[in-house]
Amino acid sequence: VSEIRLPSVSVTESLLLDLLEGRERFGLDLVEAAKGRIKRRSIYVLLARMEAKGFVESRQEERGTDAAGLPRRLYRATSYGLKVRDAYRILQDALALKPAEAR
Amino acid sequence: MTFVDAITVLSDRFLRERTFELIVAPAIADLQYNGDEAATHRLGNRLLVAYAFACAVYEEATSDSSLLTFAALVIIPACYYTFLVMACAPPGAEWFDTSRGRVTVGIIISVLSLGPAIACYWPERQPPRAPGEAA
Repeated sequence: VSEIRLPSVSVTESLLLDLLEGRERFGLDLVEAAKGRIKRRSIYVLLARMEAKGFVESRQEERGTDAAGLPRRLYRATSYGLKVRDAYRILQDALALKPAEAR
Repeated sequence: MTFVDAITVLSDRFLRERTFELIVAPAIADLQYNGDEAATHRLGNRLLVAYAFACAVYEEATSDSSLLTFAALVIIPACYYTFLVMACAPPGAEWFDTSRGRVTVGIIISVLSLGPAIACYWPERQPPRAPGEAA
């Protein structure tokens, strides 16, 4: 019997998916929008892990040919990432019920 | 060589293209984007790039089984030779008590452990990236 590995979403990943739902953002924008709940030093590692899981996708910003330096990266949530986040919220709500409420 | 060049060269040596692209390059882009900030902020941004590089190396080491295999191939013979030296050292040999003796034994063990691992198994390297190129 093959074992199915279920995806997991941490609180921080859930927050990032909220911030990226329906719009593209840069990494620094996400740190500012998170209002201290996400550290600037760890944002790209988090986003890289989320991209590996398929929760977000990214692309390089479009710039003119004369622009100096490396292009920044824009991130957005995937439909799969949002689906997993919503499923986890439903599960959390269900598990938070007291036995009397669950009847 | 600038700070960004140094990080890029180190990334070429130790990181896969995709890891550089996703973790280190955006941090460098932020550093360059905020280039005209005050000196203290510039230092902070550089530290963030260095931290991103360290995180990327950690990600590589934990996700890429070839690096773990290479580390195991070095550590196993190193433990074997260290045990052998400790077991076979003549009792009361003063040479092993000197710092010079310990360093010499350490170098010999390192060469004997690293040599075969490097010769027989070396993690795949990526082609060098052109300066200023992200992807």
